[in-house]
Amino acid sequence: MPIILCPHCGTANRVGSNFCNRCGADLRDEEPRYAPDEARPTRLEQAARRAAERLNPPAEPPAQPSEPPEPPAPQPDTAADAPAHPADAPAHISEGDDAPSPPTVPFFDLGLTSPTPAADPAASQPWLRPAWDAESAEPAEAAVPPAAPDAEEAGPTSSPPGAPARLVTAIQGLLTPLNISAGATERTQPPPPPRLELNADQARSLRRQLADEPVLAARPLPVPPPPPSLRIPWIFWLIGLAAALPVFLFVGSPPPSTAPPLPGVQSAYAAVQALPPNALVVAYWAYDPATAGEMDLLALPALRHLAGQRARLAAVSLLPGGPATARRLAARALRSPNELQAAQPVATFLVQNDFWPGSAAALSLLRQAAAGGMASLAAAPPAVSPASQRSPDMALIFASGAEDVQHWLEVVQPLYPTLPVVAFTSAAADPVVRPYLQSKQLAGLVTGYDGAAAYEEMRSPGATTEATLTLRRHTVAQGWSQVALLLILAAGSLAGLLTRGAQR
Amino acid sequence: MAELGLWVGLLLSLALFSALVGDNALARLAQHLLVGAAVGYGALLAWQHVLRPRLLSPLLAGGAPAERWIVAALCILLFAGGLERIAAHFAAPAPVGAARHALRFLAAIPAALLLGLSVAVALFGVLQGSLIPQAFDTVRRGLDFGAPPAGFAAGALALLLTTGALLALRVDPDRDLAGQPAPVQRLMLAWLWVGRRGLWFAAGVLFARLAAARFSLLISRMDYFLAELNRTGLWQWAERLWRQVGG
Repeated sequence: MPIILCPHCGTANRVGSNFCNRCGADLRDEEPRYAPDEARPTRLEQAARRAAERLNPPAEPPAQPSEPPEPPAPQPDTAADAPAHPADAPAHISEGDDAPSPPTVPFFDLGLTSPTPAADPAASQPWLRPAWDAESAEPAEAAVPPAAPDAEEAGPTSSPPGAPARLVTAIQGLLTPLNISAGATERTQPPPPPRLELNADQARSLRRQLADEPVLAARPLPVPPPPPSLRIPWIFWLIGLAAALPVFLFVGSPPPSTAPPLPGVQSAYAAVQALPPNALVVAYWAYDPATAGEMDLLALPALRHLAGQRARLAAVSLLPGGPATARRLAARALRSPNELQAAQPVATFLVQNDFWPGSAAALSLLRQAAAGGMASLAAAPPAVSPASQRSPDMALIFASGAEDVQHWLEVVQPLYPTLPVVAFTSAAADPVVRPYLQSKQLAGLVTGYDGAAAYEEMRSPGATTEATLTLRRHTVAQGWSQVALLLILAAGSLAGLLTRGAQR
Repeated sequence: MAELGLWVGLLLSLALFSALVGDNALARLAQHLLVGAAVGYGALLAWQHVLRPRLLSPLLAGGAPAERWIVAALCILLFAGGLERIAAHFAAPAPVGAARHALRFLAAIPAALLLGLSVAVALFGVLQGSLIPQAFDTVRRGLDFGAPPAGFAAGALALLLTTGALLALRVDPDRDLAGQPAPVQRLMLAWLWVGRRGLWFAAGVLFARLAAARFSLLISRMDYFLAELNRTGLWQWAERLWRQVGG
């Protein structure tokens, strides 16, 4: 029964199939082929038939074998020689159909002297039969008429009289006819992928095409919407207006807040209050004019408190602008006419003001010659006797960031475990620094505008000085700004909920 | 001169704030001036307070110890290497010669010393200043079984939130809980749920204090504007104008 071999996987499909049963390839353009177990004349047989017809035209055209031949015996050589690409085999078989026209003279004719007609070419050449079995067949010599001389002795150029012309002589029995067939079975291996030889540019182009998303030429790709912009001017204007109104319109001057301050403010005040007269305080100045808007609110009450305690300040900063800021704040702290203490020269209050380059690693300079490291900061003025020089009584940290407090506690403090440290930091640093207060590494902690207001209230309760009025106005403005922010957050959350509900 | 500084400060502050409306030339000019002034001031301070008194003057005076010459050599190498990198950045691409290779190699030595020293100080400091004291304090305070119920509940809640936050950051439910029994999965998912809410709460606290800090800067700048307007007389001029217009 003719079959159709799939050009993709080599599976045999019955004639009339439109698609392969195994892989679904389109078979409508494929031509029927013959199964290996069918009596399809081989190439050799076809050539022999044509030669025989020329020599002895048959009365009737040779008919195709009708009965289905027996399946050929399995031959190891056949399996080994099976084509790797079954498609090649069909093509190979099909070549028999498209074989060039036989030559007028068989090119393998080795001396046919007396062409004689053969009634049945297969009778004398049993190997031409499709079902001929080489192992069970009689020797080829048996096909030769007994009267005929031995083919080997007769030579290649002779042939027995009356016998059909042989195509090939003198090799009977030497070669086992092979049943060359397509070998298409249901278990055909899939063809290996074709080997492509590409240069670098072609390979790169191919990889890019395979990696890119497929584009439908007839349909334009949808352009994704641009991401929402984070610049929303009306939010900034709203918050700015909420902060500016109390400042410019002097809206409200509320009484001091009765809310308890955050933990650490009371202990910080107590630590500074406990300083003896003429105490030496080391100030680590870790903020510059960029954050002076908030930090000045914290530093001024502390400096005024120190000035009231007659303490001496030795400032050290790792920032270039730190010494200038410290000098400015010290002058401002001593300048206020409302303070009760007598005016004090800045030089007697700010006894040292150094800039140390090198970031946090420079703090380790304080560890050099342990006792001398800190004492070198106590550059006592000439009016003070050298005997008054001693180790600092307290360390103050004025820092806008938490890492500055951590650097001091990690690099310097372990060398001076008994030195009390009080930190005045920005509100943003509060969550990170507060664990150090709980672990007793800090003796006090004052953060943000609320801490500064509470500290000032402790220092001068009920006073209406410029400092206290500034802090109260600041508190009002902070409240308005935070209410505006909460309203914006609530509106945004509500809009998000409504949008999500609409999308569902 | 003081009044000139007053006006310059006010105008530059207004120019910087004009960036709120949109990027414009005035805001850019003010930003450039601010950065340039800060860098120039820092460089001047470094020269006046560090390089000249602590390095150059002792060397020129003579009798300086050998380590000062080594420090000077390292400074020169680092400076030269930095200049070469800057020049190479702005110049046309060209193959690096042997001399430049050698300079880059030598300049890497002081850079490596600085980096190594900073890292060593940071690592050692973190151990002795943060991790060990905080760990000991946590263990010492921890869960006090003899504490009042409120105190014990607070400690237990802190422990639950801390461990839950750690699990929420490290555990992937789809990957790590896939083969676990159902009760274990439910327990872990609940624990993760608590940990995530704890992280959200912590993020909210951080945001709130950060917002307060930034509002403080904004309000202080408003205070500065008001003070400057008063000192320059612009505020009084605006008041007079308002009275005239309003009758």
